[in-house]
Amino acid sequence: MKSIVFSSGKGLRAMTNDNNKNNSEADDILFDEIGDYMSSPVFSVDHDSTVQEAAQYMFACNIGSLLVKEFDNYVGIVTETDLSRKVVGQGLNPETTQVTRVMTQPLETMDRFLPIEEANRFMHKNKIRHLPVTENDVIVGMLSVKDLVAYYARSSFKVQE
Amino acid sequence: MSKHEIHHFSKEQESHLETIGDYMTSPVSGIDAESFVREAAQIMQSEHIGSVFVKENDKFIGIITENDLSRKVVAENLDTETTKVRNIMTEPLISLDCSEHVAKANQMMAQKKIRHLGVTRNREIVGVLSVRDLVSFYANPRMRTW
Repeated sequence: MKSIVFSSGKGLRAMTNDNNKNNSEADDILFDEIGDYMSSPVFSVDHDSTVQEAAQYMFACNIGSLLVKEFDNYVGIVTETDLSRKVVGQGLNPETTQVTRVMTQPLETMDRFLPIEEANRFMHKNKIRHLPVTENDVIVGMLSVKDLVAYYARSSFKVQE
Repeated sequence: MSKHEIHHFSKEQESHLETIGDYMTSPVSGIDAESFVREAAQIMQSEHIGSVFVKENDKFIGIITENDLSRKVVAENLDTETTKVRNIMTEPLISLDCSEHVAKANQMMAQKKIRHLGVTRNREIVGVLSVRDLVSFYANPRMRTW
């Protein structure tokens, strides 16, 4: 698992927000953390599940991605994109194909105390819609592109006030 | 034209990069309603997109998304080489005019729980706006006037 960890502890100061800033007091602004916008707990399927089971579970939970669990570890993520491009696109049999064959790996994660804007940059750059979120290297939540919209749309109202 | 670049309609408008037309991807390609779903998935893969508009007689009649492919084809194990796009597409195609404010698109997507909107100009589909485009819009406060 490739994990980006900044530091932990609430109330971190926004040192990473703007690298051109000087050290005036006005720059000590609290930033919104990934953890404030993620959904938790995360949903997962076992590594020997079939893609059909994964798809059914995804839609029962009304979500667009599932983590794949092997024993006590998360080993990958399976998303609607994987199901569409790999299973449908290559004509794999959903009943016999295991999720491990189509999942995306390694998992790219970010620490929950990082600024949410870092998550946006990362997700944009890597063209992903779902980002597993860690605390002390343990996955505790999931941040989706919808959560980013919620964050940015909300903060735009703050600007307006 | 690559994604997230400002497209030419914006130059004809008085507003300051707040309309759907400023953030949409244009032009859009389409797939015939009689095509098979495997073909739709292959287009999504090769063009790195999450949805394709569905055409019938040169008219856009619906949209097929990763959600349709996953929820209907994979979950129900439909045959990808005999199932037609027409049978699993989402219709009607929900769209807004390119002169509408992006906030309206956000509202519409949240309400309908969708990730892609058709964008029209003079009632003709000219582009697509995705949830990712919404993030691009909201994440750039400098570009906004309010």
